[in-house]
Amino acid sequence: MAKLSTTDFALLLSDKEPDQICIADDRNDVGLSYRQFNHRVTEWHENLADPKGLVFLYLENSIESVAALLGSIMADHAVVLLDPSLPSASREQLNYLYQPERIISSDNGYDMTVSLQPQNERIHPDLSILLSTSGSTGSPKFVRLTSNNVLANATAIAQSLQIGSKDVACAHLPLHYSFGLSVLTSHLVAGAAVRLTKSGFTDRSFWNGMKQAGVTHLPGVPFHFQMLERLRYERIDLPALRSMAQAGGFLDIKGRTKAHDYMAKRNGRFYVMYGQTEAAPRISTLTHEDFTQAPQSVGQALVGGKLLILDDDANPVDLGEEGLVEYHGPNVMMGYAQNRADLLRGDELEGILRTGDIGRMDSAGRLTLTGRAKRSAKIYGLRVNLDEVEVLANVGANTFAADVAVTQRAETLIIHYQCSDGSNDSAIIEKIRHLLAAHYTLPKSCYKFEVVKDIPRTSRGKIDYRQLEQVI
Amino acid sequence: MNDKIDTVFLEALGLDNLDDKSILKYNEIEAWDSVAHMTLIAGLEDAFDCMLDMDDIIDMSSYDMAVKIMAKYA
Repeated sequence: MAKLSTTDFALLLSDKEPDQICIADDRNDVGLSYRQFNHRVTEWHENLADPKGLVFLYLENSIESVAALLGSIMADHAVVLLDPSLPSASREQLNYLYQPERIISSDNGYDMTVSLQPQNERIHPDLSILLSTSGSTGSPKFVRLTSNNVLANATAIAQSLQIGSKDVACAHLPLHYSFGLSVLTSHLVAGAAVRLTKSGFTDRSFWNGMKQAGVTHLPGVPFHFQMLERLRYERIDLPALRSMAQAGGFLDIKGRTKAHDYMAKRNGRFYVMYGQTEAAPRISTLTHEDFTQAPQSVGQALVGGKLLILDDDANPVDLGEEGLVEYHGPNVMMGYAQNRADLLRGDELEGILRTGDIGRMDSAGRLTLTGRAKRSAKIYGLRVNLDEVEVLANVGANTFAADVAVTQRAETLIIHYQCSDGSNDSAIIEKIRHLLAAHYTLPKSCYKFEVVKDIPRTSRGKIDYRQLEQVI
Repeated sequence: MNDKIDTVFLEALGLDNLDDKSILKYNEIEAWDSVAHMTLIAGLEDAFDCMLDMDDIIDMSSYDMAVKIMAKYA
């Protein structure tokens, strides 16, 4: 196994076996060795060498995007990882709020171009990577991470998934998504190879490409495992595959068991993982061996981290009791940012993250999640703030005097709208749909509209979501 | 058979009508993304009481292809 104490991004590439394949993508499926890729990254580093600034990187799943990312970090800039499919209205708002010194993006999906902006206010010296809290939205709220946050987490992940230099990761998850980024970093830390792709499970090129690349590790959010089930596990033609990992939301026990049994049958491993972007992102892992004892659990805290279950007064609860999940570790973010001025702030959390999740612990230190303290949902692994969607949907509906509430059902957002004056339904739907599409990158089929006579309210006048969830 | 396919398409892709079937292509129209694709496959398997092969799921990239593929299961 590779050296696991690296805290410097430069070492990520330079302390590895130089002739070992490091990274490949859809255009260059042979890939670059660690030596060759290090050379590309160094070129980026040199081209970006000037005072610390903010870089907006619209990164694709391509070699050049990753070279730009690592080059920017090594040049000591703070890099915001952004979704290249972000609508231009969101891009403009982000530019306005953060005033980046550089914007790096791609016109053809592979080659990256840099546009230079005037030098702006100072940035905290430790700030290195910024990730969106949702991934799906153009929300201007970012998680502030240090290089150490990301590398400590990558190292711990590599250890818990037993990633070695012979491994090849299937990097199909978007890299601006914290889970996708961690697949990349945890494999580079271990001196393994990463096969980037923009294709997905329903593309023939995906299966051919991954087989040819000899992928050993396949990560996914619950949706991917539901797809694999439908495509049927037995038909997966990836002879080198030896591990799969599920994170990004809750996969039901049946789905987990299918994946576990499939990997068990081929002498491989299946991991269930839990994390948050705020923890760069991994918090816990359920090992393959522990699965049969605790299939509903998300496992133990990563090496170097600690999980606590607390009551409302922040006192630890008794073992097995439900409470608020708190995580302590070297991968906990510095804090959030909402605008440029926030980039000068230091570490505000000191390694302690209140996850906002509710759960309980078993005697082996394994966590089982039971709920969420705040109104947020995970749709296809992407976190969505339901209150935020609701505000926007109401803006879209206002001209028609409708009242809108948003809930989650499985992988869809249900937009309940009240129509008392008999306004044209399809006009309202169209208006809301349009507005949501302009702000979010969720698949269009995630939105379902349901008419209600009245939005139910509690005695305190708040929207009664429980009752709404029961109306079908 | 085509009626059954049409019903599944309307539902899975959330369309009002199927007036122009030639535009119904996977990843080319907004409504037919990877999520809708899985809903579509589930709907077709239910309607025809069958299990589609992986190749069929991947090849089903247009309405016309769906008709061709489902003929095997009808």
